[in-house]
Amino acid sequence: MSRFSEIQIAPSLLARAVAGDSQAHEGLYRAFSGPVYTLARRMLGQPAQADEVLQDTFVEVLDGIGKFRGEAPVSAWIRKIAVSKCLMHLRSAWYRKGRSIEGIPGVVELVLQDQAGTRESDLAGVGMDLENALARLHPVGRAVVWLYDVEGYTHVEIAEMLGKTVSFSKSQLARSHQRLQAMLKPEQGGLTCMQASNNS
Amino acid sequence: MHASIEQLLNLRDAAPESSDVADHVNGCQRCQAELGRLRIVQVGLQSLPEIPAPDGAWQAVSRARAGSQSRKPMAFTGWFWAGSMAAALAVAVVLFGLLNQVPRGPESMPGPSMSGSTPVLVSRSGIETAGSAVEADSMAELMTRSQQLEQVLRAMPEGPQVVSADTAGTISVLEDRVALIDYQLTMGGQPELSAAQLQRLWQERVDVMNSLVQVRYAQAQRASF
Repeated sequence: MSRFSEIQIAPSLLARAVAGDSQAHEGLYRAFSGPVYTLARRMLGQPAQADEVLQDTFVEVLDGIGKFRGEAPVSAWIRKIAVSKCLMHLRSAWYRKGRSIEGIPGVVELVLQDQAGTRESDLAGVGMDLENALARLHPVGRAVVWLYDVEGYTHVEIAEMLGKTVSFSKSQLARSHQRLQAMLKPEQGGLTCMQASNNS
Repeated sequence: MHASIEQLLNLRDAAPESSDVADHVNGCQRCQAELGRLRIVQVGLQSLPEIPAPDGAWQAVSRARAGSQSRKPMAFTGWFWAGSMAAALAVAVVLFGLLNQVPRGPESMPGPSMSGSTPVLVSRSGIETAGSAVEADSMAELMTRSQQLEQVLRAMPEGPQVVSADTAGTISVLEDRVALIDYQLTMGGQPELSAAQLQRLWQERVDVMNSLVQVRYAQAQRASF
């Protein structure tokens, strides 16, 4: 479940933030900085990019809070801005260029292989935890997995945000889960039904 | 035939799926195990620990906000769009006027020829750069052009609240390049920079400013329509 929805902001704090109270602004930041940063780290994988998203998100949130009318929960509004910032980074050529350089230590070769289209079976034997496996997904697939499985967005919403079709979102989710399965359970054979049929 | 991951995900999330697939999965140990793993992964993802924001990030946000106060973006109201269209039109006129004042050749400026300068032209599609770097530009002319391009940039409306990452990245890179050139130029009073080096830096500044004006102009045009 999304951490954003778990955060409750006191109406008085929100009212002060809307009125421009700088202490209330900091209160909002303290409440949401963790979820925003976590979202950015999990979607983008790179700390430097996540730092930027964190900063840009709160600049936009605090600059715009004066116009916040409360038609949606403040948490949903902040999350929407954060997701939008992350997607802007994903679309950026600078992000795509830097991805192979600023990856996880020791996996540069894997990332490069991934760019060239790695078969899941190539990853058999690479035991790792879920966090590392997520980080090794293709950025778009990773974003879709996080938005769908954790943040609870629908395929329709994800497709709209990505400027793609619902089928694209669904296939990204399926392919990413296929890869996650392969990375997470090599000791169990590592092959899903689909992979078994594909590889036979 | 076993269920595909997409079909299993549909079943996991109670999304519409054919009864044939559901029946198969109910009776297939292998697909059941796969479905179970998909559920475990989802719960695992949702249970990943929160990553705390780095120390000092709040100060960085405060600094960034303080820096942006002086050029706060306009809200997207009806007035904004109407204003942007008017502003873009005004910018085109200002650009045309200012850039026509830029000395372009020996007939308008005494001194060395500027035959290879990089004039900025207003066209239907925006601004075009004709030609590339010019070796013949004198330092004074380059400085004048640089100042005029600064005026053009200042005359432009603020950028829209939402820009593509590519545009934002391009603007950022160009601004960084200008800042770097300015830094090098401030060192220009030092004896180690020759006149030729200074001229090259000023020429580069004009070229980069030219590019920046083009990107900002295109951005202003997009915001207007």
